[in-house]
Amino acid sequence: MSSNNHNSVEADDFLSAPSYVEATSYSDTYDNPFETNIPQRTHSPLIEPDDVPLPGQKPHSPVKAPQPKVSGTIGSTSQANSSSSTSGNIGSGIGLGVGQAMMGSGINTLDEPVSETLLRDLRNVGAKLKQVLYPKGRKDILKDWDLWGPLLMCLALSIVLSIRAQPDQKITVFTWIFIIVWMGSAVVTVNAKLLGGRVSFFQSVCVIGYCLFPLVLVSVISIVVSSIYIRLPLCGVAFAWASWASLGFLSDSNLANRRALGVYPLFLFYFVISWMILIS
Amino acid sequence: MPVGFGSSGIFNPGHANQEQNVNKPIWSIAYYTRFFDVDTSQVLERCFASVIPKDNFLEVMGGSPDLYGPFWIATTVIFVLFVTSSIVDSINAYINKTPYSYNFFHMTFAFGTIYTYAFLVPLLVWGATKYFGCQPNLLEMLALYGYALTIWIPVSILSVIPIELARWILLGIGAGMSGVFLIRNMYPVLSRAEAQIAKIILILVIIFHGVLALLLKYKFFSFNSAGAPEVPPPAVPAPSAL
Repeated sequence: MSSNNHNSVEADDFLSAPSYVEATSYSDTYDNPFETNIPQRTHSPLIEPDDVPLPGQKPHSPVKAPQPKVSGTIGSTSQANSSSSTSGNIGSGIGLGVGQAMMGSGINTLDEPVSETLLRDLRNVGAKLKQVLYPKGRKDILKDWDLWGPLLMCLALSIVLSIRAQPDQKITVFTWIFIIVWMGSAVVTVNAKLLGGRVSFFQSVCVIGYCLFPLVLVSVISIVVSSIYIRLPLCGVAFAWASWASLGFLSDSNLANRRALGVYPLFLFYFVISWMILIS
Repeated sequence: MPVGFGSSGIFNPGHANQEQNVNKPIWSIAYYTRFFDVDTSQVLERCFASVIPKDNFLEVMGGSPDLYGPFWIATTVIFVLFVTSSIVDSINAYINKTPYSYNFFHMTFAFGTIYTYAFLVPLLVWGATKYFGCQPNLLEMLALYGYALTIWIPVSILSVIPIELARWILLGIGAGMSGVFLIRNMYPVLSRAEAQIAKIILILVIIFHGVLALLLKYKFFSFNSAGAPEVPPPAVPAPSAL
């Protein structure tokens, strides 16, 4: 796939300025910067805006832009992609780095209906949630971070727990769950970074947020089930599940003999949230 | 550089990060890695040394006080207090045969109390001792107060036992041990001031400590806290808690 693209790229003489690759200095994870050329999602911090004129490159007219060719080659793989889910694209090459998982789909997003755009985001969130529930699969799906999933998890948790709180505490509970989820994931991430871990901030926040999914499920179940004998094992399982899933994603954070120090706050975070679900 | 915040996280500090980070600006995350330069075994050793105060804690820290311990011990104490106080409440509700519903204000109150005690009080003590020329070290002061909170984790867990006498004994042990720990390690700094001023600061430290112990007792480990008024009882500064 990548060699394929390189051929077409060289033919167009578009990437003849290697300074682009060197300037971003992510050339090892990032052998096909052309894939980012589809101007649909520019949220990844690793990818510079592609409409900035590069040094040594003459500005090209949009008609003659080589985009159609490239997206054509990618589109051959993304036929299967758009039909199933994004995960098909991710495993296809080791060279696909952070933030490129969704970039590969060569669909023209300019003239599609808004509902299609929203649904694609939702499908992405869904694929990642599936990944959290079964963490044995491809780990790099969560490397393409987004904050929609964590926001959904956080809102669901806050709403469910505030519904079940005492009448005079509903607003406090909502506020505090919201704060605890966001501040908690941010603090856990910053803590790992301060200990010297190799984590990317938003990616880690995304993983921690997505891994709340088992706990959200249990909190929804607890609306109807009030027996402590059912909720206690459920919360325990969800706590273990969330911790296990997030550990799997964060395992390569390069913390040799201070791994426990980085992992402990994560356990604390999930434990407190599962405790609040248990007693709510 | 137009790259965002996330990409700054990809740095490799695995080898010799501390020397490089000395010259980093104070607003960068890399600047603070020096305060988190501890290993798991070191943190555990410091926690044990603070629970059983037989060695000089400043020697245990070996000249490199950290902020990992103070922050996460304080946070752990907050969450443990929330968990145990909800257990205590549910036990009370069970004894009184009333339906149990949790009180979320325990959490907010614990946040306020513990973070104030773990960060604001050492700051005040540091300021006072600095003013009177004791040459204190702010990091050491923060580490001292932070690690002194360790004993409250087992004490809070054991205070679930619904026997009033046992709770008072546990409270006495917790306050006593951490108080002795604090004063023993603060004394070398305080003794650099005049005797009169050192005595006043010492008494203030003890008063703060007693207030904390009584707040914990009446707010989290009292028998009728489920129906207790929201205002905490007037905390009489009782040095007898030591």
